Amino acid sequence: MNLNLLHISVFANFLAFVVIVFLPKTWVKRSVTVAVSFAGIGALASTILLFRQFSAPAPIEWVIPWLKWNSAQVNVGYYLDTLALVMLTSVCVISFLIQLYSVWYMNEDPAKKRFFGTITFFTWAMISFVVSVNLFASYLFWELIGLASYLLIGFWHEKASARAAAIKAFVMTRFGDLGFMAAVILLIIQVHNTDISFLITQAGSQLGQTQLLIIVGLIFLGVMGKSAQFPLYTWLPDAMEGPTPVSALIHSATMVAAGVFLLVRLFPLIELSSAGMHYICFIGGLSSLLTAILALLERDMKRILAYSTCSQLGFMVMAVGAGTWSGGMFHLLTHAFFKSMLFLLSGYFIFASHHSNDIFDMAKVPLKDKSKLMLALLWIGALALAGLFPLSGFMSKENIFGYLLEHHHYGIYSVALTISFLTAYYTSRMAFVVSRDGHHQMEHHTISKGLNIALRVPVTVLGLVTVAGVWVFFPWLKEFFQLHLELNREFWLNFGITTTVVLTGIGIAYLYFGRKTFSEKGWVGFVPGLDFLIAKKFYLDIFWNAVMQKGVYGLAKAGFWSEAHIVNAAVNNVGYACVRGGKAVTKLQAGEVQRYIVIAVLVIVAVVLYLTFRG
Amino acid sequence: MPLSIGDLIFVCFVGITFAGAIMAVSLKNIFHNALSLALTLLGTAGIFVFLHCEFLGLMQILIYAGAISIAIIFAVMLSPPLSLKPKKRSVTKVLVSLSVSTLTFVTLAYIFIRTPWPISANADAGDFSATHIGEILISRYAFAFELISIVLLVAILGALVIAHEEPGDRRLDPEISLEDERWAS
Amino acid sequence: MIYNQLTPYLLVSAVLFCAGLYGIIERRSLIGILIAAELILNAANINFLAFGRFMDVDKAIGQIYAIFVIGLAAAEVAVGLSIVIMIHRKFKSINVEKLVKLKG
Repeated sequence: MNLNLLHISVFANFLAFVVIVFLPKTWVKRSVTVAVSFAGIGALASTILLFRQFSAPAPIEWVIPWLKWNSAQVNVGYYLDTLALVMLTSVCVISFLIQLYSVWYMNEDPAKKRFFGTITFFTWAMISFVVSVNLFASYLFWELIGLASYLLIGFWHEKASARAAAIKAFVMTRFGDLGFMAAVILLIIQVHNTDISFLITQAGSQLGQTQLLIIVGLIFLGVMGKSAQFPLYTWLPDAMEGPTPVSALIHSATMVAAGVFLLVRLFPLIELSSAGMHYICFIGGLSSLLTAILALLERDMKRILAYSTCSQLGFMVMAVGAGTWSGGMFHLLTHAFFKSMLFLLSGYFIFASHHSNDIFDMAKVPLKDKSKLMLALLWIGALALAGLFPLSGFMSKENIFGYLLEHHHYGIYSVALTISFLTAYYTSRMAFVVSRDGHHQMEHHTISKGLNIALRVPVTVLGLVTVAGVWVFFPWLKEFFQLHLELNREFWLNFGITTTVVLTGIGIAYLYFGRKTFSEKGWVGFVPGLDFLIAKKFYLDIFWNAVMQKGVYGLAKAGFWSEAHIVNAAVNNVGYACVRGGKAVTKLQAGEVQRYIVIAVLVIVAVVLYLTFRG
Repeated sequence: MPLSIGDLIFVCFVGITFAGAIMAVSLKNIFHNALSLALTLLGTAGIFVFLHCEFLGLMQILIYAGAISIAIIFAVMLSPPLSLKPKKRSVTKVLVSLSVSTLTFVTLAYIFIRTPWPISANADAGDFSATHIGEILISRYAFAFELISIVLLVAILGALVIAHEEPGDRRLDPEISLEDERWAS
Repeated sequence: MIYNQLTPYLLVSAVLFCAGLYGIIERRSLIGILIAAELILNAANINFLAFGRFMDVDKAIGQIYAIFVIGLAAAEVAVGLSIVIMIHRKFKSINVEKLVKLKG
């Protein structure tokens, strides 16, 4: 029964993909129905599965042997423990909600069919990655996820910027993927088995400390690419060129979370390498801090959210690196819900301000033209992201802070506090600016009733989860994630510190953006140099361009030289010989079929005669 | 070895077959070629009867001599006129063809005669009946039977598709076809 | 009793085969070539039946092969003739000496 439910939730989206691919081109509406209903079935199945598995924490394993060579074996199938189950359910549910939302968002797009086809394909790949029994199979799905992301970022391929962003995302994540691939190959060579259950229980003891460090480093390279960590994060803000539902699904809730999920998945293995852990923690903190700073001055709402996604992912990576997989995972979970909600809301506000992404354009729209529900949800999302009691973001962040304090990681704790302050500041800046009352008169958009449901239901559900989800599941979550939320003296101390920091951030944002008069840059304009650095994006884009241009171009040049002088010389001479020989032989090729027949018959006769007289 | 009546009849059929075959490839008029083909097929049907395959002989007359040669004759007759003057044969081509086919024949004949074929002692004891063919065809060779049905279906459809003339694609220009040497040899 | 031996049949089929071969090589007209191909298929049929009769096998097998060959010949003629029509439409000729698109 449980296995069947799992089959349904995994293959519902795949089935939708296949059906949509084979539907006739003109059946646009029907393909939308197919996608949404199949995703709904998948989401329902996974939710039922979640409730059924509450009581039975034994992992579901379902294995088919696939490849075998020498002593190594690769299996495909499911390995569904509670961790994967939680992720599976959240992916299925969020994907369903976002597809529902896309019915509204993509309503007027002529290429809807392609959109829904790709998004169901993506969802299938993501789910398969999550439940895969084997790291090698995971890697394949990891690549499929990257492909789907490429297709969706470049969905509006008529736009040059979308094409460029798609290619950038693909190339940058490929950097990381190379590392992941190398890690998988190394694991196959070293321990002959890449089953996840094996890796997290026994593989560690078979590896030396150096080997382990190399493998962890390579895996983390993959994570850096997919989860947009320093220095590979630059693709994520650009990826906002894709349609907003894509940003919500892929670039906040699921795909970029795949990297963190991989870290958590392999945590028992990674944990064994303390050097690797330090490295992970450092990179996570650095990316989180840098991207939080970049978000301070950003005016594009989707890019603010993108930077905050980078920043929160860095926060999770840092938490995992500090030693609490549950902290990272729990935050990943809560973040997925409220961040995808924020993205969906940004889609609405962009629509309301007549297709401008700029938050200051949104500020010009009169308050009466903005839906009250949407504004309320925007504030809920922003405060959850900032980490204010009693929203879900508070719980997950508090959990990480609690762990850091308990294990005396004061350095990391202070970095995390800084990030928390910056986050509170820029998210409430965004919320304050967007919810301003403007006087810019514009014609009013109306949304038809059916589409209004498609717009409102997903965001409301996500908002409800953000507010109440954690409290409903609290006892179970507390047990599974071993939350550090005991009501003791440290908790209250911690609670006091973080709430003060968050409220300070929100207060400063209010001072600059909440009152009648407001500046565009806020306090950042007064810090010498910071302004400039942010404008240059810490020179990272320039750095990567240089790497691409100088490094790759140099490599290409070297390749070209060796090709011209070594390979080509050889090839050319062979070629010339062939050409000359060919010219000689062409004389036979009169193009007349009958001449060919004569030759063929003569050859056959010769062969037959040879065979007859040989023996 | 004295010739029996059966031998004489057999030789007659073989003669008809040979004559038809040679005419079918040597006469210049394509219509005569088609008729000679029908003659060959009739002769072959007689040979089939000598091989105890009465059913096959019948089928040969029905399908081959009846349908296939008629199809060819129709194709010939639906095409432009036969009154065009046939072009002269190229002597080289005839010589080449003759020598190649003679060489092939010598090779084949040599092999046929020299090979010790494992002939069974009571060759004619088995069941040659159509009933038996039918039974085997729908039991052991059922798959091949289905396959040949599909091949025929595909051939029919393919022939239709290939020969179908698109409305805007009418390039059959009578003036050009009259000057053309399509009916040569 | 000539007709109770294997070799005469094989020789007859060889003659038919070679006549067909001659036709295929020498004829200029596509329909002529099609006719020659029919001769070759008949030669094959005679061989199937002859071996079927004289060798120690189920007597139906040779005949079944021959039936399949007849079926294939029918298919071949159908497709072949339509190709002839098609080629005529494209090249304004069915003289194979003129169809030299493959010329090297």
